[in-house]
Amino acid sequence: MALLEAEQVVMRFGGVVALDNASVDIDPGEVTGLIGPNGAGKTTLFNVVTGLLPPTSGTVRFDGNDITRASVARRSQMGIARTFQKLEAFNTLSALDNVRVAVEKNQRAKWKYRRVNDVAHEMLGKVGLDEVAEVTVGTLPTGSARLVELARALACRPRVLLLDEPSSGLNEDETSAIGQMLLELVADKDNDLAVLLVEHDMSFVMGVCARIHVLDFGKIIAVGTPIEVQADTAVRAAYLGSDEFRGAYVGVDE
Amino acid sequence: MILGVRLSVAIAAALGTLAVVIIAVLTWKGAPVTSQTFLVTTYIGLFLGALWAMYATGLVVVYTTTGVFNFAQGAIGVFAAFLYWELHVNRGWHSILALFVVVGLFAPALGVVLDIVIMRRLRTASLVVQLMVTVAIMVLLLSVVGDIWEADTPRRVPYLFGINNGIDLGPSQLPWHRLIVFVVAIAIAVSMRLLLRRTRIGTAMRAVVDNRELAALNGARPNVVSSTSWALGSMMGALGGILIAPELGLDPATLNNVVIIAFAAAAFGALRNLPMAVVGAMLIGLLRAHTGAWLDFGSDFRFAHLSIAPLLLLFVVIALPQARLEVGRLAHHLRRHERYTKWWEGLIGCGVVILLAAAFSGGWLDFGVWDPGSWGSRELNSANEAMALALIGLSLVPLIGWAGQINFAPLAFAGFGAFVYLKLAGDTGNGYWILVVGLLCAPLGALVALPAARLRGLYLALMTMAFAQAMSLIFFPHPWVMPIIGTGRQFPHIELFGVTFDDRRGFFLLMVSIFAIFVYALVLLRRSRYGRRWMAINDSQAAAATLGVPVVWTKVVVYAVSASMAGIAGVFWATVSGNVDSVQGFDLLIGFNVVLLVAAAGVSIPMAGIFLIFIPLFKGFGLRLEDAGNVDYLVTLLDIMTTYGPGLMVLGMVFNPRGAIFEMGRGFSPILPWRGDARAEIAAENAQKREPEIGELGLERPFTPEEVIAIDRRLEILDEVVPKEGYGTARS
Amino acid sequence: MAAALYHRHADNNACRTVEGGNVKNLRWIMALLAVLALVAVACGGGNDDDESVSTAPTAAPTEAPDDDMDDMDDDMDDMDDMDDMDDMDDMDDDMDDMDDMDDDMDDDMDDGDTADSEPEPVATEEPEDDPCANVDLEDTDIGITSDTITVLVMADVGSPLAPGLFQGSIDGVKAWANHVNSQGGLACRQVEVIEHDSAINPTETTNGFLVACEDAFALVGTTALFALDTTDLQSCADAQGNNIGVPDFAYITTEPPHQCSVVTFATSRPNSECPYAGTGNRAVQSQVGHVQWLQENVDANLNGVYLIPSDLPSTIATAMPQVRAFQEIGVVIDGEPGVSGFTTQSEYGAYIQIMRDAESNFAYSGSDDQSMIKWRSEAEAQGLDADQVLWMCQLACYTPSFLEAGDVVEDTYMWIWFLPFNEADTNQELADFMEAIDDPFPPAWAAGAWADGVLFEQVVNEIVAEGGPNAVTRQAVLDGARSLTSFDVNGWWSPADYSTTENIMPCFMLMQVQDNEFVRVHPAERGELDCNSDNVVSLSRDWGAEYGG
Repeated sequence: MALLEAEQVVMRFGGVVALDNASVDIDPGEVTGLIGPNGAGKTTLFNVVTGLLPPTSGTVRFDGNDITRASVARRSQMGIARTFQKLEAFNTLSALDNVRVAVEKNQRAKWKYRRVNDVAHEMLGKVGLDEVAEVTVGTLPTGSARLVELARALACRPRVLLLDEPSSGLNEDETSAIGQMLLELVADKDNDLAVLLVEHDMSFVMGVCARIHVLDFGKIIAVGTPIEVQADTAVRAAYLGSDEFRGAYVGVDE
Repeated sequence: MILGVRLSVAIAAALGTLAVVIIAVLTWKGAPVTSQTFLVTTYIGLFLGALWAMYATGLVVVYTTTGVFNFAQGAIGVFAAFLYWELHVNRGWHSILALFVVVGLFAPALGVVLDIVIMRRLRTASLVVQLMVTVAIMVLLLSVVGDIWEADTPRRVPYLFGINNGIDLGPSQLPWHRLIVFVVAIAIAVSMRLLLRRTRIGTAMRAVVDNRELAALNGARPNVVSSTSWALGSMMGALGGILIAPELGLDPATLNNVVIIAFAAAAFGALRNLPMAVVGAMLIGLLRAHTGAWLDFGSDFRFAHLSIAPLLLLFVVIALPQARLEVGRLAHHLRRHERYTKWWEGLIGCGVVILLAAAFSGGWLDFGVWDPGSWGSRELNSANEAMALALIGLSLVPLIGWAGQINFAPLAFAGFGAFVYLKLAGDTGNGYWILVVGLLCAPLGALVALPAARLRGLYLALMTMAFAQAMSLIFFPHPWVMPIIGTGRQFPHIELFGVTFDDRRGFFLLMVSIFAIFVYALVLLRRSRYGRRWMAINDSQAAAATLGVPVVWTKVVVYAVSASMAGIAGVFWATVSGNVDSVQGFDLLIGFNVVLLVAAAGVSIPMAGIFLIFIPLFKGFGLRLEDAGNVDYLVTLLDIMTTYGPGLMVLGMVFNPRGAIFEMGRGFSPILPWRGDARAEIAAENAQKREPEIGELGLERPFTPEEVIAIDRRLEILDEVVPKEGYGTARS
Repeated sequence: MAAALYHRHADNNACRTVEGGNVKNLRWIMALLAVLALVAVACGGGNDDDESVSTAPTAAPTEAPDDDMDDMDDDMDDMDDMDDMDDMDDMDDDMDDMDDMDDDMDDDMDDGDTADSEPEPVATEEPEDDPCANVDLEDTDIGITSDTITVLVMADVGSPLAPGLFQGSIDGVKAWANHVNSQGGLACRQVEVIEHDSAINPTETTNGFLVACEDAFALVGTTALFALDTTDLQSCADAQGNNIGVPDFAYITTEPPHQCSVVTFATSRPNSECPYAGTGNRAVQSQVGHVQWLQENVDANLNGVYLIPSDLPSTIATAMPQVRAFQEIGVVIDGEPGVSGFTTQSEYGAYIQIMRDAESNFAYSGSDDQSMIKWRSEAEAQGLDADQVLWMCQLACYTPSFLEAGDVVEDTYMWIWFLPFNEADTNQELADFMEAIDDPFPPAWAAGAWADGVLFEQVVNEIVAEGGPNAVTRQAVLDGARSLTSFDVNGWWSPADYSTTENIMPCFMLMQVQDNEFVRVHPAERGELDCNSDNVVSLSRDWGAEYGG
């Protein structure tokens, strides 16, 4: 049984169907990818899973429990953390404080006797931002702010980590460092962590994901390993069907 | 979810109906129920409803299309009504000509100017700034009206159409004027509904508020759209003002007050639903009229019929479904360093405050020309009042400054604190009860915040406004709450540590000490996890929630803290004057001004709270200046600044949303030798390059694929566009 | 937003819109913050001692323009033409009463002294028996020097939303001071006037008392609605350090602490019992002569609606005694609804329905002129036959703006307790006032403030006559005022007893709007007031509890 399952999720906004019976499942110990053209519904799915949007129908299960109606904060306490595609860092707080808010809310037994500060610094260190710990996030470049969000999410000690385009705003080196870090995180059995990754950078996705779900018009059109997905005709059609420049931008290898 | 919505609506409707029935039974006057009276009362209610609906329509149109809730809607009506009076009554223009000039020319021009100069810049501003700026415009417009048309004589605006002829209703009649107004109001609402729903421009108008860049790509011109909205909203406000003026008489405050009823009506339509807003206005009208005809509230609840609108707003707020946590409304590029005030900085600051105040009020320092050292009882009296207000203002620092939640009811909380103290301490003046006051006011704050905390911030603002009004109409005027006394002091001098603070200087210093304690407590609070959490929900509620922060609860807690501080401050506020006027003492308007003051100063850092201490100091200082006699030009200048200064200061937030004090602090802190970080920040800021605005990307011409990508990146809408249908169909 | 209140002090007649005055304080504060820099720059010169903003005592009052005088003549003609509707017997009775009263008044004046209704004797007396001759004038008390007496006039003027509210009171006191100074001054000194704006705000009102305590000899013409705390007024120390209070010659006293202040003497009498705890029974006197006259001369069976101004406890407390007094003399009250400043005209429809249901023939407004206009307009809009109803209002309707409403207020009765402004030819004091105030139809509070001045003047003159110009101290003035049992503003106003707060002014005159003008109805004779002793009803009740809503 998967750690996190979204089953037959339907999300309608008025007449627009953003998710159409989409099902996704993720397992601990690996990075799962979620790709699709713009507007496919990836962020919407994230919002449904984290509770920001109540689905029109469908079920979200975490560790076997139905959490479809659970509050956002409750899900977070259960161990679901995320980052945002559009930045949602606490701009008026310092990077360290951003992380501290998360640490203070998620003090698990393991950290009980450690100082919040140390944990927060450790998390910032993981994403390489220890140097700017005291800097207000609003003044940081977009890429760094993304990393703050990542550190913040990690500080929740999540069992499921949902990352929405973590590489945007980062250069190639930074992107590959993030990839490396993700692989290390899921590899560590102590963490027991599952990662769901939405990403446009195809080389990044193909590099770190064990499995990939492909979303198009709110439907899952393919699930499989990177190799399988790249070979899938429906996937190729979906990407090719979009405007020519968009395909180039998404970067699918023809 | 659908069930949930229905349940809450049902609960609110049931509660409302129950309340109406109980009140009706308890207060039934016993007047003969005749069909004639019923008919007349009903048409009066519908007519009043139509007038309020006109205001509400303007509010809804502007809110739907620009996302700004216009607190100045009533003030626009006031201005228009006075202008109409000037042209028609004073200068003898024909009524149709005057009406055309005011509603057809002046009002749209005002709307467009407001849009171009101010409103457009509020697009990405925080709710605090948006609301404060429209409140400031309200205050400014009313000041202008007061200055142009002095209140030395009452004025009347005649009815636009005949009032003395109409449809015969047995012994009574329905005047043409009222019938026409009703029809016009409905026609305006219907045509606005059609405009928004059925026309291209209407679709564009609605689209713009959701995503103006996207709508721009789709061919809509956001600036034209928002100017059109403001022009339309302003015209409806103006027409409403001119039509309601004959009903109420030309008095700025009374006329402006109408807008609160319009707020309740708009809230009835969830601020966007035009037909429901009109229904809400009619409902209030009918309730008002029938209340007047059948019910009798007695002197204890003599304002009960006026509180229908705020109470309706309360029920609406209970009925509204839980709001989604918004994402993507973050203001970027704040350009400042976050830094805690060090504990020793706080101590030094508070020490300086006490010493300064003591020096000023006690005459220990000689400041030369105006000799503030020689404060007499008059200076001390004014300074005490200002000091108490500063204390109340301080209660808003965690709320508005940190959590970004608006509270228009600080005076209501203060009044409640004073009431609790009165009941507890009686005429002993025992100061230790003040601590209990603080404890008892916290649950009240939580109770007020609870129904609205799950909604968008605007509802919380409206909710606190309704609460403040309901308190000042129902609670405080009740003689049991604030007993009328024949002589002496209602609130005895406070006695603490065996000392009775019965002289003004001693009491001033006592308040200064309390102030310093409050400030230091805030400094510590800001450094705590609670302070961090409050600032976090201000920046992004969605993100805070995904980190496990219970957003609603956090808001409720911050309200409780604020209410507790305000309640304690209220004891001092009441004790300063000794006798509190039960009707005006805790008025919403003063509350507005306290809020404006705090917001304009931008008190988001606790040490900036210290600036509030300067209020009483300068109050005393200013009185000496006024008395100096030979500085007329300064006094005149002060007069002008007095009338327009506050509003203008708040308008400054359009350009500098973090407030004046904050900017002053930013300029000042690099001077401090230990603040190398501040110096570095200024240097970094100077080096920073401006990012291109969306308009500079060339929206007026066909763009290349690269440009579209650039736009996408800039707008961060990559995941929100359906590629095959081209741009323009937003998904989420 | 209960900021905008209508204080309709029914008998006490301060009947204008009142806004949230505290706003002003905050504006002040913010302005001060904003001009901090300027203040610093201006630290150059100035003297903090001189607090007074004095009016130039030398400025002579300007002549009223000829046009105004013509208007007055016209009015007088109208007056002569009226009186085809009265039962002449009753009129004669009343006239007899009036004669008695006149005698009384003359007696009072004789008992009084140099303050005479005719200014000429003062002028002629001076050279013969000049109290100022051969006297070394001293600084006898705070606010009084060898050549000046400083008085402070406090009025609610400066609310930002209602600027200029009671400016008339300030104008009235200044006009009085100029007049006195041009006649040779008071107690051999020139009168200086300090203004204080109480800004419809309790704190500023207290400040006014504090300034008066420190810088002025007395308060004259006080027109402040929020005198909630009079401790500072009553405990102010005089030059000897005795906490005897500042004499406060007020026009209106709306709040019980002001009404019952032992140093306050209001020319519009509180006519309520003092001391008063704020709750429980309170004896109040009410004027009913005008309604009695209607019963005797127009319609013996009056039944109708009394409109209570219900915004403040104090407005209710002034209206309720009158309602009960009307019932006492046989008027049937069909309804006593409360009306607020926020009541729309159409909501007056409910009162019209009461009148329709009860077939009322009487409609009395304890509220202000605008309220009466709304009521009558709504009656017309509802098609109520206005001719079947006697509409009645009080001093609050004696305003130009009431007439501006036009036909709709035709036939409205109203009563006042002083000679109307167009009868200046019948009374020298009124003539002096009209000349000094330079306004063909001044606001009532200008007249009230002038009356305060005359009251102060009379008390001081009595002291000077007895003990010379150096006997004038606050204590002496307080004693003099407290022993004043009949003061009638030199025949212009109804006489009043200042030794008690409970007694009402017994006299009234009745007017009616006819052809868009205020026309004297009773007593028919110009220059006369009706002072029948049956005019007054005294009742003791818990007035707050009396009000139904």
